[in-house]
Amino acid sequence: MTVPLAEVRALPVAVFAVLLAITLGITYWAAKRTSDTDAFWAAGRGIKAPQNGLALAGDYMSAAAFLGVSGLIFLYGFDGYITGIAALVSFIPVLLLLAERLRNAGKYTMADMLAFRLNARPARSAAALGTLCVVAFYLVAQMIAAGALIEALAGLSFGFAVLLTGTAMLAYVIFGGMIATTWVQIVKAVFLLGSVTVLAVWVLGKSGFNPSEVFAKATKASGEGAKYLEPGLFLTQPADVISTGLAFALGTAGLPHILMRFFTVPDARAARSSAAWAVLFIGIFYVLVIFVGLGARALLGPNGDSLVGEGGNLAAPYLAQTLGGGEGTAGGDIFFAIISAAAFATILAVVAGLVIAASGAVAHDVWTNVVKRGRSDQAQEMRVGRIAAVGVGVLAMALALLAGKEFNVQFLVGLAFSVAASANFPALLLAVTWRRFNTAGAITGVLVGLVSSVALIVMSPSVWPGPDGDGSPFPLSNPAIVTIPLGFLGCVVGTLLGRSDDKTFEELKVRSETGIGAEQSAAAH
Amino acid sequence: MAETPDWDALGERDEFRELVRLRRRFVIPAMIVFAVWFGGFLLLAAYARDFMGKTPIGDISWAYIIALSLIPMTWAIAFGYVRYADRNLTPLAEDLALDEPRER
Repeated sequence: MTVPLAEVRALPVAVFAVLLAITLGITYWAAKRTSDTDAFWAAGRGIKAPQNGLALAGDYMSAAAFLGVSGLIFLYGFDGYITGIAALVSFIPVLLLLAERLRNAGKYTMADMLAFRLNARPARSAAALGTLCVVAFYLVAQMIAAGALIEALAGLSFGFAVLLTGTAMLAYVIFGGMIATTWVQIVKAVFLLGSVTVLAVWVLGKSGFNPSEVFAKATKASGEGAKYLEPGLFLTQPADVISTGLAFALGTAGLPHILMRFFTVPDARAARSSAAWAVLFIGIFYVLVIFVGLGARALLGPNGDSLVGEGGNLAAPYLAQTLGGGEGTAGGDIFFAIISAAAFATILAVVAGLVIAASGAVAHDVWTNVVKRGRSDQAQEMRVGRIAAVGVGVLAMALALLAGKEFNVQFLVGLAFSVAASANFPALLLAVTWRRFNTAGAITGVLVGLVSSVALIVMSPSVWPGPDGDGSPFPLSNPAIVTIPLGFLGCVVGTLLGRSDDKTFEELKVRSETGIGAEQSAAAH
Repeated sequence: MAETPDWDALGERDEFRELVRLRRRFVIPAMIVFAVWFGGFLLLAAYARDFMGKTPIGDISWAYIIALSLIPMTWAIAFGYVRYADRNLTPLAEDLALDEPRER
């Protein structure tokens, strides 16, 4: 559907253009510093801990976290908040179990850690498969959401919005690599945190800075009474609450674009402290986002439900418009444009991170270490990485355009998190903790986690054909409660049946604990 | 390029065993606190809806209070671990690394 030109909103488009100019400027600056593979995939390992903390927080504060969580709180009250808080606590296993070990023992990708102690080519292939599936599902979901959002916010057509987002994302990655991706993410994180703070403080100010008052007004406006403050309006089945909570708490720990960030800092100590910085920023964000969602419910009035659209994604921008003075007022239009731009920046930064993770999996894992058995030079690996980025990016754009804006992306997001939690997380965790773990275990675990996630999502009510998924064979909207144990079980059964190839557990253990032999940062060369 | 470190010998050293022991001393209890607190929250959200809807502080329900309590818990574990590791783990790891020939 093409939107007539008259519906294009000048102000949001102008702010988007300024954002694009800033981020492309960053990319130009980063391109001059992207001379080798360490720079391309790991930003030369020169990102400081607080900077990486902001970038990590930026990867977490996706459009789903900002627009999605505030929108779901607007629509369903407390249930909207569960995925957000689960994603926050997921940083505990990331920090305590994976961050330092990845930095110490890996080079560019999470597959590096598996390849260390297992039969390298099959283990790497399995990890690359897990990475690429998560990225593919998540990226297509983000592109569709981006197109729909930009159409609604700026009046640009869905197709044009997808192409614009995809082109910008490819420009950051191809020319500026991880350095550009990181700094775009940092700029966006600061912009988004600032915007959410203004929104939340303004909402609180309207209620005399009494948080309880915001809850009271939102509950009254919701028409749901006390139900609005308790779980059950969105995730109606108890088992779905637990399944969704687990998918986000463990799945976020298996998202390749998040794990990749730990390679961009100088050493394990910086990896550790960057995770703590990230937790600080994300925690603040998730306090504020409650007041964005409840504030929208309290202040948008009876028209709110039709304004915010399905899924409630537009609650935050319309809240901004209302706070600024309403539609047609200068304040309302400007604030609407600024919050829209924050959402736009969020999408751009997150999709760039996904594409660079995919390019690492294709070039570093599949090409250099599986196809060429490690006999590839830096220039070639980088060339393959750029080609892979273009391939993945163009494929994602094509799929988004084919699927169209009516496509239900929620199941793609559920799939990404379920695969991350059930295929990637068990293999990674067991590789660093279980002496007997072997190649057969890793491959079985990844495949079982992947296949069971896809199968159960297809059988779930939101995807199964028929009105409201009636008669769907699997009752839950998120399968993680079944597939995470299956992923671990696959790892264990495969290990027990397979041949032991444990020659290097000791090496991985010593390396990951001490950092001896870890990749040096460019500054230390 | 210097010789490859003897990983098995390193893994046998007392300093290394101490490093592993000290890391576990923090990580295992912290993971238990995380699992119980977050798991308890999920179970309450799933099976104790009436309780979660009660509003002990003004109009703020237990659901939000318990969910929000996870934020300072996460902060405490994260910054507690960073402080603990900087003091107790990094010096040990650096000592071990100093004795080894640099690989590159």
